[in-house]
Amino acid sequence: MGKYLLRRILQMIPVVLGTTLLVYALVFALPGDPVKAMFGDKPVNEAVAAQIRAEYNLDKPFIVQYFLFLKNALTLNFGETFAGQPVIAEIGRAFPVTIKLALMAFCFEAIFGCVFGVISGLKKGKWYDSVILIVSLLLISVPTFVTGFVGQYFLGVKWRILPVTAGANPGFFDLLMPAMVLGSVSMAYIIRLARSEVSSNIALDYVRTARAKGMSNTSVTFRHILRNSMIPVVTYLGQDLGALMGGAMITEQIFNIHGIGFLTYQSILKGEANMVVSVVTLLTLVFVVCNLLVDMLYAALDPRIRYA
Amino acid sequence: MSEQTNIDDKLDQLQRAEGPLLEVKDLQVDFTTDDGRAVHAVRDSSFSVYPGQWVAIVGESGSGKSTSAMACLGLLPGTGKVVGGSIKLNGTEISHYAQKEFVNVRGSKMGLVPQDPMSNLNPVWRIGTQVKEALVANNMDVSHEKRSDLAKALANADIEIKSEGDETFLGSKELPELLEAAEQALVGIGVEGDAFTRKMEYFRSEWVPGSETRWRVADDLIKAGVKDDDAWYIAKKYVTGSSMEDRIAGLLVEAGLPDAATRARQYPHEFSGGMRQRALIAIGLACRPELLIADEPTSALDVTVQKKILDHLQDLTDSLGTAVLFITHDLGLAAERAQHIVVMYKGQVVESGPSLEVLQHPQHPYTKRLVAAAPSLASQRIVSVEEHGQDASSIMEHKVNEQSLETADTIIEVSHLTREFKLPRTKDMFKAVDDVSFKVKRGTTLAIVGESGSGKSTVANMVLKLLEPTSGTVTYNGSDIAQFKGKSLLDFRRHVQPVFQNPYGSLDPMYSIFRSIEEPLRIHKIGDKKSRAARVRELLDLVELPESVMRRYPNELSGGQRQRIAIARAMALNPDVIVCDEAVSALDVLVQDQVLHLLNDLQAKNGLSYLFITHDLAVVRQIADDVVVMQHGKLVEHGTTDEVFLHPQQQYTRDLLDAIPGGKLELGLNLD
Repeated sequence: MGKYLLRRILQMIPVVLGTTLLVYALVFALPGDPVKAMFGDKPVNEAVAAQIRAEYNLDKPFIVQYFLFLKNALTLNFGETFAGQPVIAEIGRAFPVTIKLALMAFCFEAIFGCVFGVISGLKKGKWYDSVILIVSLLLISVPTFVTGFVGQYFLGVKWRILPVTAGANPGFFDLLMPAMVLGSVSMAYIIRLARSEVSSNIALDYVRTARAKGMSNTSVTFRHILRNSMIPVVTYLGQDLGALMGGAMITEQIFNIHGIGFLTYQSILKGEANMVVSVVTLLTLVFVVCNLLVDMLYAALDPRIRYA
Repeated sequence: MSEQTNIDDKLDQLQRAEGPLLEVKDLQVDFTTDDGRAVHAVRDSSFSVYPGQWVAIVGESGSGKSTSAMACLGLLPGTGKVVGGSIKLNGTEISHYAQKEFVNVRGSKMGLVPQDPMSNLNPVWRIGTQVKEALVANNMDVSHEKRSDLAKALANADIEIKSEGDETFLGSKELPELLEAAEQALVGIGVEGDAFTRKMEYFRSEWVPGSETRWRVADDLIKAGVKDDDAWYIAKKYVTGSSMEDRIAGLLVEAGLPDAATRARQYPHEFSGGMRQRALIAIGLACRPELLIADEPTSALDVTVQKKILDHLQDLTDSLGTAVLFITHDLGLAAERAQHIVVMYKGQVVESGPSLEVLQHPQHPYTKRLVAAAPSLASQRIVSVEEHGQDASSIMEHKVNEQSLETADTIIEVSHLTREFKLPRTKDMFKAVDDVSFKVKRGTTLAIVGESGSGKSTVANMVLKLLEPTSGTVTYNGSDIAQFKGKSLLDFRRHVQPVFQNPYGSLDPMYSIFRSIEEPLRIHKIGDKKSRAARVRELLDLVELPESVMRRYPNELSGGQRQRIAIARAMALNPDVIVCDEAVSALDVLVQDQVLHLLNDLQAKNGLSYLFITHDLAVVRQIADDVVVMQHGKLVEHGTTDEVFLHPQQQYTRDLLDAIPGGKLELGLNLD
């Protein structure tokens, strides 16, 4: 187990290096000159521009810029934005908001997804199974921004139950609607996954054997049907947590949430390579760690899986 | 012997006095199809099981035998529903029970040992936990044995069981102290030396915590010479009840699982098929039901394991006084184990009666066919005919061709064949096949027999050149097949064809039957479109299937039909050798019989040679000229079929022969 863990951690190094290089190259290849953009409508003062370029190493070749970034990153110095703010401080402001949003969305999709999926799977063919199926299909097929606007219109504007947008330093209620919108698609997937798992497990031989032992329906359902059905669901949830942490660009835009997704989008528009690459590095790490946790959890849930 | 008859008489009386334990009358079970039509899976079936009796339901797949049994437990799959008739358990009507009511009788009154040990244990729970569930669900007292009235009445022990306390289980905590006390008691009565060691050894093996009861400990001590009062004093002092863990281990030991306390903490995937089946038997009997429903409990296991497990199950149910409803497709097995046989065909009971009666004087045409086709009975018949000094060849489907065995040229020669596999996570090599040599003569059949894991399929794959040997050679017509490449390999493939075990997996479901049979012709560029179509028709005719089958797809055919298609495909290229890897193992007896006939006819007509891989010695008797017995990758015996069957040289071969179900039956000769 220890060996396996070490191998997985070592594997992260090439993954992180590869993604940073790729993202750095992509930002570098973006059309337009970020320095010129900083002047806005004013005429460009070539001397000042050259000074800025030198300061941010923009005059050096791409690969040199990349290695300079890496060198600084190793000392946890991610550089500054063009506006003079340290990148690390900007991320420090945005990330807690995203974590809050992601965890809320995660709880929402996990709880409702499992509950509806399991009910649906246990009572396949009943009317509420059909309703749950249709609603989940709807949520999967409608894009998030539509769900977001519909939510804003009804919950926020018409019935005034929840705030329409979140703004800076959002609280629990400010993030409730965004979290539901963000989690809705995954919730629909979990409903379908849990439903198909439960309804196929219900007919398995060991479930019948459990009934033949004289176990009550409730304990058969919990110990044999649900316990086994939850393995793939938990795996999916774990991976989804990584994805949610990456911030939801569209959701954060719609609800004006200043999280990681919002920050990334703004930085891309401004061509701030340092910021974009730093964020992506962080997200890659989060994602890889989440994946590792899922694999560990999988082994804990299913005794047939042992890593060596 | 007289004691046995005594018990039998007593049992008879008791059974008559108590009436049937399970009485099924005019049972009707329907399944509803997707378009709402009702399929009658069981029609007007009646049978009874008396206390302590083994009753076997025999029939082919789809005959309704499992459905009838599951109806008794209220565990019909899918849309299955009891629509008529009655099921009485101890005189109480249970056919209309709701699931909640069934919960009360399952486990405690009726236990189940299911068919497939691989899929009947939940992979995520420890074995012990799954046994525990049964005990907990029925609120079983884990510190006292629950013995059926029948067992109590039959217990022919010297000691009368006086009180409930005498049925207290031994606990693992007290075991060391008990053994010490027993040691002292033995010393006290002057037992020493060898006798002492032997007696203590006996105690150690018999006194299993969670299974051995107080009166039996006392009984053992008294039999060893300890005075009655002292023995009871020791037993009462140290046998004071077992814990849940002890009881779980005790149940597993009773079911024949060694080292049960450790085993109970393992997961199902760490168990072999036989071990899992033992665990399932422990679960089925955990709550001491009066009736155990055993649904083909051993059909997924090797013959020798099957015999061990059934022997064990029989001892166990006899000592507990449990009645068994035994479901099987093997008439020989049924007759060997059960006192009463019920034959089912197409959802109906067509015949029932005492086992030997059914076997010797089958009335219904279906039963007659079943008796004639059962390989275990067929080989038994050959033996009994020969024992009576008559010529057995008239009743044998396949005559051993001794002359051609001697004179014919060798078509396949395997010499010093060895194959090693690397074991995962270690540097050790595992010898799957270890120095195996034999020859297949042209126009004859050589059977390789062995249990799963004996390396027989590995040999087949190497003969087919689907796997390279680690060392040793396979020659075909005198040339080493390892040298074959390109054109010569294609030529070899054309002449040596396989038929595999699973007819469901070896035909591409997306190919029509025509395309499947035509494919080898196309690959080898034989003939044009028209002549190939003619050849496919000819082949279908050869395997006795109508031409109309051509346009159908594998999922529209039965298992037997599919295996015929696989044979037709193998025959398409006019091969010299067909390697049959468990080609009939997955088929029902009657279908199996037909396919074996077909193979025999094809050999007689076309001079084919077969390499026949099987675990079923009964089938070997019917088809093979030469037999190779393999165990743990090694060849342990090699001889003609008669030699091997009549004069087996190795203990392992004798064990295999013993394990053929129905082997102990006295059939008599009036079997025409």
